[in-house]
Amino acid sequence: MPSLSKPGTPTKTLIARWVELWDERESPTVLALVRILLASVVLVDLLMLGAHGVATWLWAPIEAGGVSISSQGDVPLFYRVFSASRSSANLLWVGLTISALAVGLGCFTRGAALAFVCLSAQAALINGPADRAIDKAIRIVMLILVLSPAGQVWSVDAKRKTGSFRGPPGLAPAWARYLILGQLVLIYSAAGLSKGGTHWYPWGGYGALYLSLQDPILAAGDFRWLAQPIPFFTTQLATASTHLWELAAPLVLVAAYYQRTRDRPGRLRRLFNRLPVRTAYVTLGILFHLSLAATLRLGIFPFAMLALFPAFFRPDELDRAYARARLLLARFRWLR
Amino acid sequence: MSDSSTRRAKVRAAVIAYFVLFNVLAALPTPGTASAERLAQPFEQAELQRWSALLQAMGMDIEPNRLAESYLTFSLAVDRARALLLAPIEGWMWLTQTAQSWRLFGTPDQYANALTITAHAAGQSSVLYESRNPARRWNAALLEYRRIRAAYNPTRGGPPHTYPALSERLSEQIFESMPEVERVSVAFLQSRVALPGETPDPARSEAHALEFSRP
Repeated sequence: MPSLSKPGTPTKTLIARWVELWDERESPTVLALVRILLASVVLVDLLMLGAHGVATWLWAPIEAGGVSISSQGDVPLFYRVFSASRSSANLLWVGLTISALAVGLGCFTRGAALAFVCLSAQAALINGPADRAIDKAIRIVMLILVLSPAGQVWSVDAKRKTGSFRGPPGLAPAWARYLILGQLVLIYSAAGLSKGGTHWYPWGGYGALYLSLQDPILAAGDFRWLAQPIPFFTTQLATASTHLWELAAPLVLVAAYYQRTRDRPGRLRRLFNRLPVRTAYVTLGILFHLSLAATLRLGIFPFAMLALFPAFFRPDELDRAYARARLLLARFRWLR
Repeated sequence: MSDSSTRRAKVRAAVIAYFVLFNVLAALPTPGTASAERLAQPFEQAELQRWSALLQAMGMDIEPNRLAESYLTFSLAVDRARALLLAPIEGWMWLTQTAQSWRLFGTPDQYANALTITAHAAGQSSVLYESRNPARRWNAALLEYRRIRAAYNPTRGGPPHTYPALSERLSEQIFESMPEVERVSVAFLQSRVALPGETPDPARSEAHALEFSRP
């Protein structure tokens, strides 16, 4: 890519490097994968909501059978446009479901993602308690997808433009994937830094995970047996590892920086480039989220976070992993 | 690279810089919503004791009460500074509901709550649902669905504002499906979780109880 610094300038300024970074290009396949995975998780959640038939409980005004109270001066835009009724609450559910489906299929991707964000934000304003941290994270990523080329491949949009769902093989701006990666790092590191309870620290006995697993509302089972010495020690170890894993999130960005500047000198750079920092971080992250899904009732949280994990990798890295997986699968077929 | 694409790249980089800066600032940890009433609660008092003991071990002679006062002053100052810093992006974050606050299990509680739903008929009571009790599972799939759970799951400040209306909707379902039921009560059974090595406290108390009679 041509340099943006002035001719004759020996080293690029920080600003020029910043501009170059966000102007980089790569295949949009990772963004498409994130789009499909995230929309699928959201869709499952919305279909569960529909199956329970509680759209009116969650999003209708309290007078129309809802559960959330809003003051007269605080009426969300949705109920200024539509009537404050049960059918409007169902309409909100329909809108969210159709827009999430359209994002997943890549059908008018940008418009669908924008519609989802607008409707989801209204749902949050109508019923604050029912809007969880993961809903916020989903809105942030969907907003990034609105402006991204995530719908250029593996989509109905691609089929309309090129006649093939696969879409054109060309490159597209990479900034959206970088932002999703940055958001993941921000969520984990902020969560790590926000752990103010003493039970996350040695002086609190690393009891955080044990306590969370004793919460009758959140625990997926009866974990009273964890009070035995060896299981309790395991929860202490898991508490410390979880906290350290969250705090270590910025190391993924450091590793990426050292990887890009591998020609430069420095012991730390050489060490980072020798160690599989990112792979280790992602592997631990997958284990962490799957353990959460198995032990705590956190709804879509672990799965929606895992849906963003492809953003840790460049498209060519995922292509290579896919090729290796296919080769492995072929070997198993031969064994059969 | 043409002039127009260079200009576009610069504008994009500037917009991204703006959002990255303010989103990172917004994600910085805060001391939470502190208040004197909240700090007077048993769990917070125990937390203050533990932090005070740690600071004393490090040579800072500070009593829990003094620590609470300093914490309140500090959190108020942080809140004010944060509001000022985030003013340029506050409107956007409200409109899109994308405030960057990630306090995931920041302060696990030693006081646990179990939701109970009890039906009363002909002088007899029957617990239909109790959190984590495999024998009392009425409507469990709904009650444990994340968005409904969030409508009753209490924090240390109590259940959310949606709890009374949700309880009423649940009681309406019971009255409709069980004609013999005269009254429904919804409440939380509170207990203190003992960490291994601590003396277990078998006491369970009822809190935030609501009762609904057949209309």
